[in-house]
Amino acid sequence: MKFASLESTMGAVGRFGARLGRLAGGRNTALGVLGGALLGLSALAPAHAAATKTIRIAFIDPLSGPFGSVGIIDAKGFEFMIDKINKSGELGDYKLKLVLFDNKVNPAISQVDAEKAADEGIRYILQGNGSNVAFALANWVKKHNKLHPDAKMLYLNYAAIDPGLSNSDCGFYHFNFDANVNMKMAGLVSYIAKQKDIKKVFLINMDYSFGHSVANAAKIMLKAERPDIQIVGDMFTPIGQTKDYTPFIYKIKQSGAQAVVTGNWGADMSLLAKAAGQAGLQGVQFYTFYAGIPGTPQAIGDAGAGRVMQITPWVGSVKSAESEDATAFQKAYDDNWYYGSQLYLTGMLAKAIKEAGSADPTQVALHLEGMHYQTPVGDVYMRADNNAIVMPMYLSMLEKGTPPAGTPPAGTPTQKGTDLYWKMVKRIPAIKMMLPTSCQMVRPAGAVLANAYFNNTGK
Amino acid sequence: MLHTIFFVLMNGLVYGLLLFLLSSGLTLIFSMMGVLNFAQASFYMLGAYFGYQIMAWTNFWIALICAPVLVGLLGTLVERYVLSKVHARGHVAELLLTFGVSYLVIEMVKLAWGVNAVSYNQPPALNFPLFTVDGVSYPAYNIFMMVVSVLIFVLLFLLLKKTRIGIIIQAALSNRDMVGMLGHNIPRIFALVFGIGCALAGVAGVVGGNILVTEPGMALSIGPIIFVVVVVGGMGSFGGALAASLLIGFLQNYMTTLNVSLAGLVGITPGTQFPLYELLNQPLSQLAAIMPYFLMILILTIRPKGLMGRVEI
Repeated sequence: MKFASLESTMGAVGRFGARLGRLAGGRNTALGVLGGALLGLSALAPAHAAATKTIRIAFIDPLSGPFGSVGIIDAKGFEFMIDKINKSGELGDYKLKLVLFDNKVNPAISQVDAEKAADEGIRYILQGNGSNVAFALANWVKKHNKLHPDAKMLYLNYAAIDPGLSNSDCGFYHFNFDANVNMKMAGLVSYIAKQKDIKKVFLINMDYSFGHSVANAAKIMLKAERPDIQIVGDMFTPIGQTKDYTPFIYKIKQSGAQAVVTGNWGADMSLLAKAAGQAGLQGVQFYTFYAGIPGTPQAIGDAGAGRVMQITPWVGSVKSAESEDATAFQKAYDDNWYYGSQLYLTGMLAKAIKEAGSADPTQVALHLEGMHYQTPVGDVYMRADNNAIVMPMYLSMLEKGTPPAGTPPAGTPTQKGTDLYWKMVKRIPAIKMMLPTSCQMVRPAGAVLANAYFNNTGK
Repeated sequence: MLHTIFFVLMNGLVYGLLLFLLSSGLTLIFSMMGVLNFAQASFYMLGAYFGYQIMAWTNFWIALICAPVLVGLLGTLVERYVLSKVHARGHVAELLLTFGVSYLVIEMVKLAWGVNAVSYNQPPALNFPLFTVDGVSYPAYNIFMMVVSVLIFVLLFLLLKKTRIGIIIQAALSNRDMVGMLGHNIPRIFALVFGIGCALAGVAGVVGGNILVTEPGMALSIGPIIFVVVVVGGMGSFGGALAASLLIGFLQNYMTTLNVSLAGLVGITPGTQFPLYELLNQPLSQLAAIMPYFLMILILTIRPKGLMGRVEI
């Protein structure tokens, strides 16, 4: 089903320009109506503000078990950003506070956690690990908000990237702050397409919905951009079960592929790259989504240098301002900063609360929609047609040694405990990430599309 | 085709011996004490972290000696002061206790080294391709790992079958009270065996931790497979553990390398309406990782003793 929707999506790319123009044309009137609505609502805001000075956010992610380490580092990142916002005093009387819930990456437990959070009067949910959990929470939020119109919940998803979350299963109270599978793949493919010597591509992914989304997107987009590229392998492995990736490396070697595209993460990513290094696989580049998660470059080690690439919303020190955050984080927590989405999410949330003058989820959501947010790495935009983020992406290569001075990665932090660093290879402008969507969301009565206009000129 | 067969044999041997290295300690503790040590994988993890830390301070060779000794000492302490108290209460108590120890160790490691993977790499001296066949190199380190694995097998065999202490250990398992009456210190023998078993896990950690990944999740990820090796090989049989490790190594490599589905293997091409179409058309490579668990169920059903075991489970 996803396959079909993606294919129609790709077909629509051509009509995309015209659509942008239409949306842009409608902008002024939409803004006007929204402004009126806001004026009317602002009278109500102070009453809310006086009641709750602390805006609690339920962080629902794994804090124990096999994926506990991932959730803990994510929580640290948010604590860090929230701390910064609170200290700056930019929210006036409001303070943000993270409340941790351990969901063990289990969709059912996550829904119970969300229920608990709602009972405690928390109105914001933050989650990122596992698209299966994200689907469960997205649907729970829809149901909850229908049953409790006076206590609506707003779900902020910072890393679950199944395309369905911002297409078929999108919702007004559900915002996506990370590029989805199709967007990341579009970024990778835009680069691969320009590499003339890549003639054969090998796909290897984890055997669950996410892995299959990655493989499907790769096949469709490669075919559209470079029909001459042959897919010489399309393999799946059960999650976390494969200890010895050498036979897969042998198959990659046999297939004659020049590039491997993979959505593998955690041990499945590390072991794949390590096996490639140990088997001395030459002339094959690994295009990955998740080789940069803290701990993975350490596990891969030197085997990944000059071989493993990643696509991320942020890398090393693209610009110094964000590098300051990265350095401060590293100092405070003794770990590398990874998720660019954490910076946008907290920054945009704060901005929306400030603009709305209220912590009411509906008001905040209306201000998040269509929001432009300036970051050191470029303009970030929250689409109003599917509540999903659009931002420039960065393709980078794992390299060994001291980052050379004077080049874009000057002052790039090396990965903790190694002499490896991510060297920027290409910046993919946000405009390339503006893929068509099939999202049809129900907005609150009276609400209008706030700012469905994208003004990034493709820098 | 010949190249593929060579690859399957060679890589199967490498991976099989790694599995044996990982499971040898568990086999020793089970066969000599009758204790199913749930914490075995956690001691393996400790070995890897100790190895990483000592290598960071000194070098790999010192780590290879010191880390297993440390893990062994820790194991001895656990047996002497904790586990020995529950032997009399049977296997369930032992299992639960080692289960608790395993989680304690994991949390301690997280506190000491953090929640992310550490950068534990192979020693530079052994990090070069020894030979290359058909475009796939075999690093010297892998061969070193195989040598260590075989050495452990031989040494354990000699220790248990040819030395006096080995004979006393074996006797203590079957006639505990009698051996005690003869003047041997049974608790000390048990502590020694448990310590050696943990030290073996420590060796596996130091040697295998850099081939695999050294992270807090490593104990949970390797735990199931070493139990499979011990069950398939036959509880408490070293020869069995070796045979099972190699069998799994070869089978897994063969299944991954082969380009066929289950249906293709038996020579049929089912249509989409065929029952279990999805499963039958699944490439064998996709099933390779779960094959060991299938093998375990098969063995438990048709040959509960395992390949070379003496007792039924």
